[in-house]
Amino acid sequence: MVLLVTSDNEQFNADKDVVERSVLIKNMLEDVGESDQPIPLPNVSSSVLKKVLEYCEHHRGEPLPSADADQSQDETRKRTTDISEWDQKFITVDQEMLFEIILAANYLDIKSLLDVGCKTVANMIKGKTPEEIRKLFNIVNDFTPEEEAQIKKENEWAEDR
Amino acid sequence: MGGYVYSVAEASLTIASLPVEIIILIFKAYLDPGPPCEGEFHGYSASLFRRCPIILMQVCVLWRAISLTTPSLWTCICPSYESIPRIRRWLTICPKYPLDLQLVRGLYHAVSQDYASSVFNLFAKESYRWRSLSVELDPHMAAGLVRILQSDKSIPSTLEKLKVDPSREPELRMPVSTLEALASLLPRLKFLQHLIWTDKYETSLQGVPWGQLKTVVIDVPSSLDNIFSYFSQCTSATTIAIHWRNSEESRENSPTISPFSRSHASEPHLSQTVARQLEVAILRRDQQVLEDFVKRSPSIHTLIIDERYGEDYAYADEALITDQEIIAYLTSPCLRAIPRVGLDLLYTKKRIPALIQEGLEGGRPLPPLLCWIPENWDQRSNAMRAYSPENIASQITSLPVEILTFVFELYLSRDDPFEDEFYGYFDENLAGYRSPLNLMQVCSQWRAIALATPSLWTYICPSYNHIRNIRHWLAVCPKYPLDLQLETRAIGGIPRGYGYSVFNLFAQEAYRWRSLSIDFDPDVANGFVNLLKSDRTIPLLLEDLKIKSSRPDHMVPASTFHAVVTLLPRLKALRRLIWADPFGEASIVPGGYISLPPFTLHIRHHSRIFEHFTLQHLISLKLSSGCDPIWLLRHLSAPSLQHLEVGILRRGQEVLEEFLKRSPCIHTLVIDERFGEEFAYADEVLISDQEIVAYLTSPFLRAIPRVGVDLIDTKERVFSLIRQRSDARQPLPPLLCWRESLYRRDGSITLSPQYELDADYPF
Repeated sequence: MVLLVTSDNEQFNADKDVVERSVLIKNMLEDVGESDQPIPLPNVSSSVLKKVLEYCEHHRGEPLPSADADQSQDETRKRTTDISEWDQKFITVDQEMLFEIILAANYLDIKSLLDVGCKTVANMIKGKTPEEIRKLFNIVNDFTPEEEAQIKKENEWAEDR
Repeated sequence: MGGYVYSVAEASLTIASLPVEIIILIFKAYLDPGPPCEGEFHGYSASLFRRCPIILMQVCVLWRAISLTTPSLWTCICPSYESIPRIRRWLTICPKYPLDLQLVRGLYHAVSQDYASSVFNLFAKESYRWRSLSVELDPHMAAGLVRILQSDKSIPSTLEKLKVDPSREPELRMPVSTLEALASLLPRLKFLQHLIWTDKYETSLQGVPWGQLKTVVIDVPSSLDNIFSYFSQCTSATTIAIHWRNSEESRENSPTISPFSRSHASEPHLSQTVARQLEVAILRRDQQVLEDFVKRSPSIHTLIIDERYGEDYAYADEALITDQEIIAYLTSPCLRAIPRVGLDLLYTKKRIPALIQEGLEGGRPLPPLLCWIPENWDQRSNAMRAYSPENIASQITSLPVEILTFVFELYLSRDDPFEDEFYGYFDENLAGYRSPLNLMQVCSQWRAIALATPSLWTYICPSYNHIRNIRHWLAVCPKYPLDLQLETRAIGGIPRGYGYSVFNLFAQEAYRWRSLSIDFDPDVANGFVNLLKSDRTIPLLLEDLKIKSSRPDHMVPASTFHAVVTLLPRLKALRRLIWADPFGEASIVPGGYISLPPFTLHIRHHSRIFEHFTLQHLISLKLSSGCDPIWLLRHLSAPSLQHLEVGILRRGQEVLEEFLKRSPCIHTLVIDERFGEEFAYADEVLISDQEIVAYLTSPFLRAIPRVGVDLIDTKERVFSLIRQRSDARQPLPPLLCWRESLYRRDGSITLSPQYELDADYPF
């Protein structure tokens, strides 16, 4: 078992083969060797780590992407936005949690979870107008009036979207 | 498969293979001194010997040459943290490019006064190449600077930007007369356009050539008369920031006032017809004055109201300001007429968003008034986010740029490449809701990311778009290398000239074609020939080329094909060639191929061969459907060939073996019956067990390190035969790799026999 300590000082016990889906933790464990010392995760809160562990638990035992995965594999990873049913259900969370999970996956270096998160966001954007995207993610339209006018001009020809 | 071959062929790629311009970019990123601090012209490199071009120069000849010939690596420096000998050494090494110099006291306090003087003196000798100078003056330096400006020999005649920042330390205070002498000498700097002068003590700046300055930032205690005088002389300035405050002496006796209050501001001749940016403090009682001033200054497009600038006067006012007065400010038509207005407040910060949320004109008109976001507007942009009407930071903006980039790539998800294509291409409406143009309209950050992400713009199949859409897309898209698929036959119901029009549009961008998959009709083929003929238009970057002849009713004449083949050697970067000629118009024995550099050839469909020929530099060859491999292999010699894909043919074993004998470099052979289907099926069904065994045990095949076999009809028989053979267990694994994992989704091959055998065949 490995003891993880979150940014809000909560402690989580998890199986080694579960937490080792995180390359960061895997490397830490390899560096430290056998130890009872808790692993601090200052960038991950308890609510997020709970979700992350749920994901790792479900995908326990699946082959990890090799460190020397070649570029073509990476390309493939990027091209498809299909998400498995379980992952879809898992990632059906509010936006704040979604982005927290993405950041945590990035920090913990869990590629597959990062993929799921990013694919989810990409799917959310698909088929939406810029205005709809802004509304969806609460993004401030920070273009100046001149820039807006320029952008409008750039895109006014696009009648047949 | 092609991808695999390509990666093998390019396995020796190193940093030395990168183009010089890329290496320069890397160097710049490595040395990046960061953004300028507030009130500075540039970011500066504080170390001359760590993370500096001198390190890079020591790596190799190329890096040395690049370092020495890239001015930006040597210009923006702040030497005040180095020892004198090191500075002296740096000066002897560095090329004599213009200098953007920052001389701060930094460590001077801990070092002797001589140190500061010595540093200044060292760089004073280089004054002829000062382009900008930001200097924290002590008496010695001030006197030195005056001497430099007085002398015709040493005057920094190319100086464009000057920041004067007299030391705040009382013991290092210099006589006012020295500073005034300095100011009066500034007119000798004919190219001076940007001046920042900050001081804690009152100094008259009457001698400054205000009229020639484009940027004026003055933060010096002065009398109101002086301030007014400076301001009214700034006739050319496009950016003015006069942070006025009373001098210590006069403060006690004078009422708190701002530059825009009292009688001066209402004088009709105090106006700015040129100024485009103005920064002032917000003051309740000054609104009318400010509005009148703005009316008289029609060129202003940026107004920054920042309480910090008038802190001595603003706090009390702001604290007392009523909601009505705030609303009057925010809804002032005069201020709203200015395109960019930024507000930066402290005490009223919470009240203003609250008022906005309460429905001040429905909350709608305020965004243009509150915009503050452009990144280079210093760090205030972050603070301004808190002012947004929604008053909620967007969660998605908290994602690192690299993750957003990844999301954008997923958003544009391209198809997997079809077999025989180099890439999957983005073939949707270029202007549609799944195009980078859509992302670019969301906000400035997304716009910047979309524009800076090449993969969103490169893999394009434009052939499903209206010409005008393509034209506009081309006008907007950044000029990254293009991986282009131009299909002409796929457009149902579109007139014949369409394909040629699309080709012509993209032909103008031929200089950035990296890969091209193109359907030939007669017009397009002719256009392509013309493109290759001209030195001005030839796509020199083109590495991958797939040519396919188009519809049968628009057959390309053999002479045109021949012309293309003859011109191919002009494509010096070409490495992969796919030749698909279903109608057999082109000869595949082009003399031109012979002089190509190491390249990959993939021939699809039947093509004519007339004689024996040798392709000296061919490293990969794929012969797929419709092309009788045996006929070709009989005539071809390829002594450099490393990778071969062919259909399996019973009758061809002998020919294949003969070919292998002539091709000693082959290390990968894929026998795939699909590639020779017209010829193979009948043969395969008829193939006897003995013939299969002969194939699998052929010493020539077994001598090749990696062999993949991909069969359909004979698969079970082959398995069964292998089981029966006593010598199968050891020698066969390296020979076998079956269809299921032979091809990855991206078309590249994986040859992992052990995995295959574990999965499919229980040895």
